[in-house]
Amino acid sequence: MQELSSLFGNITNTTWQMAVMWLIGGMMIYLGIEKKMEPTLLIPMGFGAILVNLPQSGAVTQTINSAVQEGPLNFLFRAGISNQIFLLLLFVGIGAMIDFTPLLAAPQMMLFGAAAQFGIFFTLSLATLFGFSLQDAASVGIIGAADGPTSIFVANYYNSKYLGAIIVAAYSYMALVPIIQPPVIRLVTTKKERMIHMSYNPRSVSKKAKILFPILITIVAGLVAPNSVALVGFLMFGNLIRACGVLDSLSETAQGALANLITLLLGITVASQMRAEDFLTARTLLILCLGMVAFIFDTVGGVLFAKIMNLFLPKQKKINPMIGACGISAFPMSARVITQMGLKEDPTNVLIMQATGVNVSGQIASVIAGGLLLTLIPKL
Amino acid sequence: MSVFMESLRVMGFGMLGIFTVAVVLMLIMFAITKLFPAGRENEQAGGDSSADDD
Repeated sequence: MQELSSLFGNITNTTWQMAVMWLIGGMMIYLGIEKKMEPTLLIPMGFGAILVNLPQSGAVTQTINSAVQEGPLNFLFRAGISNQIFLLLLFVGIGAMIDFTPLLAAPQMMLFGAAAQFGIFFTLSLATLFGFSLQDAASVGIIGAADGPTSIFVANYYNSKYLGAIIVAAYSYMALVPIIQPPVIRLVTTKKERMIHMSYNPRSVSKKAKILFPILITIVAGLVAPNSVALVGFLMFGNLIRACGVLDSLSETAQGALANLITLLLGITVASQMRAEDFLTARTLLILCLGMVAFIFDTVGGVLFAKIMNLFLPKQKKINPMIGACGISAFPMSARVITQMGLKEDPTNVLIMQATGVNVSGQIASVIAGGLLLTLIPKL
Repeated sequence: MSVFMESLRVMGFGMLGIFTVAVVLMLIMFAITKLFPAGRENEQAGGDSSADDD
C-alpha cells in the first residue's frame, strides 16, 4: 500500500497554477488544430506547456536532493535558442521561401514596410511607462514585428525574463491578423479611400538583380546595424540560395526539411519558458495587451503613412491606404487580408500585387527594426 | 520617467533609422533593376537557349 501511495505521491505536488497552465496548453492545441491558428508552433508550444508544468517534470531542469539535473528542454534551449542558432537556421528557411520580385518590381513599397514598424517603437515607449526596463520594453515592443524569430532573437539578446509571454503573444497575434487588422483599418480610413484603385505597372526584374539584392541588403544592414547582420545575413543567405537558380535542392531543403525541423524543435523548446511560476503573472497579461497595441499601431502607422503620401500624389496616382497595413511582417497573411478587404469594398479592385510587395518589404523592415533595437539601446 | 525619455529617443532614432535604411534599400533596388534590366537578360537567355538546345 505504501509503495502504491508513493507511486502516486507526485499527484499531491500538483498546484492550481500548473492546472491553469494545462488549460492554457490545451487551449493552444485547440486553437492550432480546430482554428488552424499557427498550428506548427501553437501545437508544440501547447504540448510543451503541459509537459513542463507537470510536478517535478523531468523535461525541465530540477534540483533533486541538492543535485541539479538538466532537463532536455533546458538543454535544447541552451543549445539552440540562447545562442540563437535555431532562429538563424530558421531564417535561412524563411529567406528561401520569400520571393522578393514584387518588391524589386516596385521598390517604393519599401517605405510602407518602414512606416508599419511604428507600433514596435510606440509600444516600447508605452511599456516603459508600465515599469519595464528599456531592454524588456524593447523585447515587448518587438512583438509588433509580427515576426516570431525576430521577436525571440531580440528578447533573447536582452535576456528578457518575459520570453515565454513574448513568444506566445507574437505567434498568437500573427495568427490573429485577419481579426485584428480589418477593424483597425476601417477605423482610420473612409470607404472612399478603401475603394481607391491602384494601377500596377511593375518593372520586370532580371535574375542578376534578384541575385544582387540579398548580397547588397546584407552589406547595407551590416553597415547600419552590425548587431543585426546575423539576422539579416541568414535571411538573405536563404534568399540567395533561392535566387541563384543553381542550388535548387538546397533551396528546397531550406524551405522544407530545415524549416520544419527547426520549427518542430523551436515550439517545444520555447515551452520550457512557460513554467507556471514564471508565466502566470500580471506581467504576462500586460505583455499580451501591449503586444496587441504593437500590432494595432503597426497597422495604423502603415495606413496613415499611405494617407500622408496621398496628400502629395496626383489624383490618378493615389494609393489605397489599406496596403500600408501590409507593412507588418505577417507574410502572406496580411497581404491576403488586405486583398480580401479591397475586393469586399469593390469586387473589381484587385490589390494583391501591391499588397504582396508591401508585405515582403515588411519582412525586411521588421528584421531591420529588430537590428536597430539591438544597436540603439546599448548606445544610450 | 528617465527611462521613458530614453525610450522616446529610441523611438525617434529608430523610426529615423528605419526610414533611412528603407530609402537606401529603395535606391539600391532602383539601381540594380536599372543596371540589370530583365529585357537584356531575356535576349541573352534567348540566344543561350538555342546554344543549350545544341
